[in-house]
Amino acid sequence: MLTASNPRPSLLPTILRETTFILIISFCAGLGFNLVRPERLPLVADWTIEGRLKARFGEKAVISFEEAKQLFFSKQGIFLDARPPSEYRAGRIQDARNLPIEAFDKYFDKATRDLPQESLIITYCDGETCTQSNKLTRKLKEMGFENVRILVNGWSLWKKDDLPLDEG
Amino acid sequence: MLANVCRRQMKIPVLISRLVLGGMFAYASFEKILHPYDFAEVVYNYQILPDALINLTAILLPWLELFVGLLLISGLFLRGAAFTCNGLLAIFFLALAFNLARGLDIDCGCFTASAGPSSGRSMIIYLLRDGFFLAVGFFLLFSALRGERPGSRREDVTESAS
Repeated sequence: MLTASNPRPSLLPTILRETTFILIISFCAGLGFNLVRPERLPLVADWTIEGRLKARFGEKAVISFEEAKQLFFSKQGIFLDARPPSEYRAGRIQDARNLPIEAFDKYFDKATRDLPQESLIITYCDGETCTQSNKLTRKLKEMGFENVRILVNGWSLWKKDDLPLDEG
Repeated sequence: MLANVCRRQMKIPVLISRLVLGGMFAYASFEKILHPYDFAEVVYNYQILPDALINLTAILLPWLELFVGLLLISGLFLRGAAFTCNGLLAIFFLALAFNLARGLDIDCGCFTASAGPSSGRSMIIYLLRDGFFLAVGFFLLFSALRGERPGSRREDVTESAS
């Protein structure tokens, strides 16, 4: 005898059939829409830190540590520290200016007022996964600075290599 | 007879559950569909999936959320939609709990496609919120499984007769 609370044997195929249908139409719609959209997302991408930054900001978005050092010693690039002021004061790349992303509007004029828009700017923060330099790069590009490059894990690499620092 | 009365009384809570979960899923999908790269970053930040599956997930998951949401709202394929909805909520819950347990500080990306840091407190709130939706989802699935379907009237008659 059936009661209302008993599981009914015919439900499982129905659930499976409906779920399969939902999965299929979702997959078809997702792949189809991605195929026709102007900014198509590749099905497989390089998700290393550098790969992500290049995908977002272009092939020249990332500067290698060696290249950044050369630019530092030849004084051809301006280093912008994207970390908060407290961390900046505790230690920074020599002659780097502070433009914390959290207070971008407040610090922007002071940090960039003497910089022509074609200046080569190198942004950095601390840690391989820090996103402050990425956000700063995006903001600077919005403000018209086109030649902005990111030094991934800049502060840690700089300290580790015993390169010139400023404090205070 | 009693089952029919219960079923009738459950109609409004079931309808509310469908609209809440369906609306939430449909709403959550829009920004992810519009900004797939941003959503891919959210998926990446969870640090659970292998790199090869990140973009595919970012492309397909929002559409799955959209269809599940629309089907829950419309009441079509309700059992399949409720089952998929519970599956998704359970996966989200486990992913959040896993990252909270290993101390990973991420934005859940539940309703937006923006990736950013979160705080430990927010992670707990995300988890509680997802747990609540999961409870609603279980209720909906349970109700959908007990609900009417082809042949149920005949069975009820049989039940009454016996």
